[in-house]
Amino acid sequence: MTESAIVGQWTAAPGAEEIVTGKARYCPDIQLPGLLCGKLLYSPHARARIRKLDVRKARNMPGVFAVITHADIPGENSYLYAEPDQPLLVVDEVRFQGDAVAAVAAVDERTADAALAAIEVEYQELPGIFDPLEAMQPGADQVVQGEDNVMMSQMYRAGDVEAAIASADVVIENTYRTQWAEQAFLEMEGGVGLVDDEGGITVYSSCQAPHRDRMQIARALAMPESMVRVITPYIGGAFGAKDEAHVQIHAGLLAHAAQRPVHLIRERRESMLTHVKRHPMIIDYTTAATKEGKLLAVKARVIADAGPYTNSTHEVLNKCGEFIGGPYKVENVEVEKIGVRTNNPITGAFRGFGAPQAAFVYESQMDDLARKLGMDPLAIRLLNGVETGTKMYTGVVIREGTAMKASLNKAAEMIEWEKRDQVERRPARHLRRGFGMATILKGSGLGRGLADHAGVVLEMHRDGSVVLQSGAADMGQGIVTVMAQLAAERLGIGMSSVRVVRADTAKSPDAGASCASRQAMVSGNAVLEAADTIRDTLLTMAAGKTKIARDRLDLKAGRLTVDGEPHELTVKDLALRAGIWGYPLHAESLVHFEYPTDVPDVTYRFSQEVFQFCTQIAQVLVDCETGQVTVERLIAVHDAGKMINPGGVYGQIEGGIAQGIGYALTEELIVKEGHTQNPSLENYVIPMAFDIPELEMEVLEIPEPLGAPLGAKGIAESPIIPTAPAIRNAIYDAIDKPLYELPMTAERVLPVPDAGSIRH
Amino acid sequence: MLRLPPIKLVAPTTVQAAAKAIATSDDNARLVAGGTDLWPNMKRRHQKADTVVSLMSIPDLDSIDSANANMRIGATATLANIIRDDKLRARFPAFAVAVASISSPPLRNMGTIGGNLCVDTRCTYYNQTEEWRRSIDYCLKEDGKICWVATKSPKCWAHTASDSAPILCALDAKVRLVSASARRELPLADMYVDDGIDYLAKQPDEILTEVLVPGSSDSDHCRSAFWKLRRRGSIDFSTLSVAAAVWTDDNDVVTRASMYLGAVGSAPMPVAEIDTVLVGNKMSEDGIAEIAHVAHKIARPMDNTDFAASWRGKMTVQYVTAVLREIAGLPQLRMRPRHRLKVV
Repeated sequence: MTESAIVGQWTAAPGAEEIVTGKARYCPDIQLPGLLCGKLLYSPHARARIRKLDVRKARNMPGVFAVITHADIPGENSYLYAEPDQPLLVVDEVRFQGDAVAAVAAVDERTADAALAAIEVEYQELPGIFDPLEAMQPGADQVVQGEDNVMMSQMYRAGDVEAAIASADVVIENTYRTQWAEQAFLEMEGGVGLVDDEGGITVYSSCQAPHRDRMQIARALAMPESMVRVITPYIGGAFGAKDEAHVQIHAGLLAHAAQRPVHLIRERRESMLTHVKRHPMIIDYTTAATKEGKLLAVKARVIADAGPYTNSTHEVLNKCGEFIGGPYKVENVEVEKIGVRTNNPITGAFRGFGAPQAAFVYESQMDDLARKLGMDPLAIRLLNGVETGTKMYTGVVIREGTAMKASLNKAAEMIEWEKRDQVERRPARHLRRGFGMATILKGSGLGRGLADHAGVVLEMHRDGSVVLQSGAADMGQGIVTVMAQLAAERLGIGMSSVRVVRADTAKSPDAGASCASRQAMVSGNAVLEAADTIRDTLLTMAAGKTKIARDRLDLKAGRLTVDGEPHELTVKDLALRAGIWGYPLHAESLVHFEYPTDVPDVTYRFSQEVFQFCTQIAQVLVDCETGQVTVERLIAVHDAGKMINPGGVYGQIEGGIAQGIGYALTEELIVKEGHTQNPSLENYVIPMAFDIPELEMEVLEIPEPLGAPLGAKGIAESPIIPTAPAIRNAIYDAIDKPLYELPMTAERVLPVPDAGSIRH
Repeated sequence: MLRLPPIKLVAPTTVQAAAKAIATSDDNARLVAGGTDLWPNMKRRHQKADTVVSLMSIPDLDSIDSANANMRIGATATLANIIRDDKLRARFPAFAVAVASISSPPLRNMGTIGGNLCVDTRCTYYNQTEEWRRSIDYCLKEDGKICWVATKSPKCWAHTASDSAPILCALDAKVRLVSASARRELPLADMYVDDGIDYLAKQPDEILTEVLVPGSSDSDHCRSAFWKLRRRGSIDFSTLSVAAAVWTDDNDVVTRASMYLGAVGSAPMPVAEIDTVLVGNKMSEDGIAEIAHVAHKIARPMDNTDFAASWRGKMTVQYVTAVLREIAGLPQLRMRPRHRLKVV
């Protein structure tokens, strides 16, 4: 390959102009003749028995086309991310405030609201179970009758933790607590269902996993999947909360019941009450080390509040446990993962998927350890950090781990870590300045043993233009851009010649969910494979036509090149010839994520094997009398393997850090007795531009050898992960007070112990 | 989506016609200017009206006369235009800072000074959607029988939410009120009542038409400052605000002083003692500490907004100190709010 013309260049996303000018159609923008307004009736209670549910009045109202309850669902009445335990419409007991009991479709919104009001529901409120620690006790009232509140309890052991702790010079034990956090995407969950000409159901869905949506919709309708089609329009963010299906199933059910198209969009309040939050966790954590600072053992017990239903609790806890030791060489690890049912909000996927909670703990603990040993936080991390070839406690061997220490060193250089004590530490009587770092790893891909594949269909037309069909949902993260770039690069054409059809199950092969920082890798490889097939045909034809050896030919900037020099034949000419002579410029590919087969003793289930490494360093200012914290500087060094679209990479880093600052300092869903107190972005406080410093970012490009297109690896999740512990460690540095609970609000930063005696 | 209920909207083109419209319509009529408070409140069914009388079609009601010795601002002058006015910024810098701290640029483009002065009081248990309020049972402010902030209280504890009110009170501003039958001028401070429900002394049929700020309160005559506490650097309402103005003679001896606290009562709370403590002396750290102590006792932060109430109480001491240090020209000892303290 010659030098990249498109890959690695800052590129506007296909559709960017439509998005910024308001032309792009999102679910709420879809208009169809006869479109009905759909609405769901949600539970006002955290836990109640339904004594009566009567929808007759609502059904008989003029303008109401369908009212459905659990009794009207033709197929299975459950979601199915993993376990089928969350009903689409509740049968007899509501178990959290987001449970839906009925759905209506009416001629307009006002009629739909009136129909909801006309549904008669009699609830008998029941005492709820809101404290996971109480819910775990033997004999505790069951959230789901007949099911143990402890929905998951797994122990993973590597090495001999007790022996390692017994032999250690230093042992540190702490308990950490994290909060419910909200994804706060721009576009609320939505779906538009319609009945197609053959009686099948088509659903426009704001989602992360169109093919899994199709399966769930078909299952609820008792229809073959072949009769269900899911189309993704433009999607305004997801961050994990649209990984599991939401209202798109109900949109399909309502369209089927009404035999008319139905629009179903959640309001912000409904959205915040119903979709999964980041799991609040209580983590007991023990670190054992030698007096030189070498880690000997990590022991953790992780308790996650799952809410009443399973959703992705198993998977999130699995990832939390997988990374609980951090990016460090430690052989003796014991982690107990416990998921507990309560009547609180449901919890599940959110950017990082269990890793942010783990990182807050292991990176906080690393600074506590450094303090205890009188070591520098940078030195202790370099001493213990993983490298290329390190075998993790999970059994996984790190193929490319240079970035762990490279990112630490680069970040330290950028903020002049060694000279940080020369910076004014007391800029005013009550102000203290501090510096803190955090370094993490996070896997990309679903994990060993899981169906982790993606396909694309690629076709070049006679005019040289290309259509690329992929089932990968683009929620704004930019997979469409990445795929178009890779196709354009390989086919020697401009970005404007590639049209990516947004995921549509009737046209696009399954690419799995857009999650786990996986699509750029797995769908990226699928694009390269398909593009290479077409490229091969073009070059073979060109060799025949020009009588020039095939290996001297290439495609670049719309032309054939010979030894790198432009030839008079264009890609268009070649495409036209191919069309006329009947050469197929059509390719399909199906690529599986490569999990290495040469590592015999991977003991951790579903382990990931490609790692995102990054380091962030925060400089904070703390007011000792008020407890207020300002993040003054934030340095971020991330490894992308290879940047395909640098704008997308930097965008992911900026966005992740903004979310991370919120997670660290302000964001918390406040839930009292199962009732969410702040289901609005007015009271759920995400940071604004004033609250985020000018970010200082650096991207390393250390090619990933495993399953990575052109060496590129996922970047989507890692940016949010180190931010909270970096800020926590900076606050510790500033005021000599370690914090063990998120978010680190002013109230929690206070009281500052003996502000006069702080060591700086 | 949260939608407005059906309403009759009228938009007269004179103040007299508007006053007549509000006087003659049924009981349930309301005034609106920029609508940044009323429309969301009506969508959430906090505030109800069958008829809404808009003031936005009245020509010149949005004029700003900042060159006049006594500054005059029309009620529908937008917050954005107020902070764009060079003369106003130079003469009343703390007022400009307060206005610039309100919400966000899009809302300042729509929101007006009259609307901000009359903005509804707020409470955690009230500023929620209708479903939310219904699920815990409605509170006193909304025909309910209980105040969720203080369950034994016979009185509503919703807090004043205007950022322009405390500073304009401190600067001795007056407002002109016009009804179909009368007109009057009222010191702004007298327009507020310390009650979360009936928080305005303005009658429902009176229209606030203009704000008058005396020349004796401009930067040639007094020094003023405004600090606002909230979690973020923009958007959020105050959880505490402190506004003060101090007049001194040629020897820096204080001749008059005035201070109001926002968001820690149902009305802007005057710290009347500031006058007795400071007048006759130069400003000093001791005097500032004394006033901070007094202000702490006046402030009544409740569990009705963001942050722990006890913390907001402590912050009153810190913010009063910060405001007075700013006025005295003493170096700041603590963290400044993240929004701009200077409006350029």
